[in-house]
Amino acid sequence: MAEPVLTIRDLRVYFNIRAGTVRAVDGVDLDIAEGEKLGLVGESGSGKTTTALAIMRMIKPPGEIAGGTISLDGRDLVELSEPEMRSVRGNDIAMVPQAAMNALNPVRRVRDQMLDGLRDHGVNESRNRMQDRLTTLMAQVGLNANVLDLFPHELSGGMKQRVTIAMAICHNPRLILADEPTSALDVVVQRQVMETLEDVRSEIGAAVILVGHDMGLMAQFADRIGVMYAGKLVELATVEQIFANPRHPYTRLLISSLPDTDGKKRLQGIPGLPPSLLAVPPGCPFMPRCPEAMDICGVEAPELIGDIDIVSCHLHTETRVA
Amino acid sequence: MSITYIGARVGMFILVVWLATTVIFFLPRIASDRNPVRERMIMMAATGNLSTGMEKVVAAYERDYGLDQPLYLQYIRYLSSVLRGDLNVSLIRHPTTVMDLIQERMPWTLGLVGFSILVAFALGSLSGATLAWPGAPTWLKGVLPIFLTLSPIPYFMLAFFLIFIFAVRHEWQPEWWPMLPIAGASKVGTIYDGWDLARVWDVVRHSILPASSIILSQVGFWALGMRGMMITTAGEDYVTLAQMRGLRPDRIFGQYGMRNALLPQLTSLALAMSLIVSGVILVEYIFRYPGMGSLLFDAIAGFDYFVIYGVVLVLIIFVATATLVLDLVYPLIDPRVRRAA
Repeated sequence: MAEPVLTIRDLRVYFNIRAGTVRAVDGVDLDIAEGEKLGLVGESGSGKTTTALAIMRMIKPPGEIAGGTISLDGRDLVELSEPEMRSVRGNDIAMVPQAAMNALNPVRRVRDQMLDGLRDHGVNESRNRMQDRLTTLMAQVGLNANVLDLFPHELSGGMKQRVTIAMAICHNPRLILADEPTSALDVVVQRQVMETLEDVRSEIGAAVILVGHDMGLMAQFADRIGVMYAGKLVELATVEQIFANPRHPYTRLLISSLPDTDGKKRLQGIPGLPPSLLAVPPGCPFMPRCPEAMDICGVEAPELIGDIDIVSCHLHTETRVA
Repeated sequence: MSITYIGARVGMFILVVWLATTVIFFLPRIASDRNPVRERMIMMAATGNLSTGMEKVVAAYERDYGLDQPLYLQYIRYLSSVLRGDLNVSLIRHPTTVMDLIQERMPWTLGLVGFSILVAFALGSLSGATLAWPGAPTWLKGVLPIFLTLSPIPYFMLAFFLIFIFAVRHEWQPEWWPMLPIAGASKVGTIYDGWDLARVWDVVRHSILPASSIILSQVGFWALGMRGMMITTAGEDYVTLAQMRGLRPDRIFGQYGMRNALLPQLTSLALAMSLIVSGVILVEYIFRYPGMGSLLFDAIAGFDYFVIYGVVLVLIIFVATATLVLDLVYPLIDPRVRRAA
């Protein structure tokens, strides 16, 4: 495997609220290789978005990064000062946000908002050069240059999402975090936006972490998929592996909950609710909902095993050779 | 911005001014049948300045100004004279025209009240915005409660308090404690020739207490409104994205935060201009400030209705203009309104 761009070790993000400590992310390890597309799935509250925010160091009080390291090209982001981190944001790591509807400043033209991003990271060129840059960026995401002169309310949802992609790639980042970038769009536009994202990604060779819960979308986009449950990574494997041979019972249930194109199968959900992150029970957090739970599951938390294909479940005690 | 939009706003402006003028014409006349001219004559007679023929003089006055005619005819007569730019003559300070009185008083009110409102707005909005933002300085957090405590106190009560502290000698005051003037807009008996530094300083000194009473009572109001708006704005997705794009913190605060949070505040500012009508009469009266407020107060006391009409008309036009300007400028500061406009 190529040298990882981003290495996360034992990342823990805790929210200290009055009722106690919410362990939103509790000991996550991740490696993202250069140019890799990693999908992070899980239901609401599983910690996938929090992980992305932690990489950006955008966890706000009462939340805090309680431990672990996040190394970008060997530099630990957790240790950086806020001004140092600011120069990483938008520059080395870029974000494509979830709610593009409201992600642009309503009173500033697209051009000015794009320029803000360039200027605040020290790009200060002549008017014409800047203009050329913006036009190129717009073309890269499939937008006409005259969009630059519009205000956000004059754009459609898909156009706004394209603008946010253009903003994200303006400094050729090493890593793009895309937090459910298409959840607010209809399916046709969804596909177009994802294609745009993939096009610009391959152009600049950035790695992408795509956060979402749409397994179908993940299957089309990602190289590897990480499944999160209750603040922990429970399985991480290639897309083919995950769909052909899911190992964690939770992953299996996630995949079997996908609608069938034949329409014959009844839609299946996963019964039960994830545990409260305030007091995660001992043992495997998925145990209460697990159809294959064993005695040991309630006692001892399973460890993550495996090298390339990783799973944390008592059903699997041996490392599978990939 | 379309012609229809501008036309509609200007039409509304004219309608508002006309309606308000009509109400203010009939209201005092229906509410009271005092005759200011006769009252004036009685007073003159009492001081020995007028001995005979009082009724004759009163009748002459009434004929001249049409006061002997039915009220609706007076109304038409008044409206037509206003349209010609003539606000008639003060009944008490005959023959000074109302227009002259207003021209003499207006600059003082505009200077004192306009300035105070704008300062309170700027101070309050800026401190409110800063307070809502992460990393607000601690001293500011301590100052806001003080202003919040002051804001429900009527400004004229605050005026008395300020007079007590800064215009009355107390034993606890050290030697250097400033004593500020409490009456008028400049030193009595000084005649200035043009505007030199000494005169400016004199005027500023005289305005400190009345201005402070208005500003102190208003800052909390603006700060509270702005803080609320800014907290909402700070949670907006575009502010979060701006942070995630690594924009400069001062840019996020100014162009992404305050720029958006300020929009509703500006509406309140245009409405607050009506304070010039309602609010400051007492401040001007307390400090004997030669502005529109004390002019109106004296006019009401003497039932000098042409002056009442004139002053109120000017104030109505002023408030309506503030609203009109806001309506016309708003599409420029909030692009989302442009389409509707």
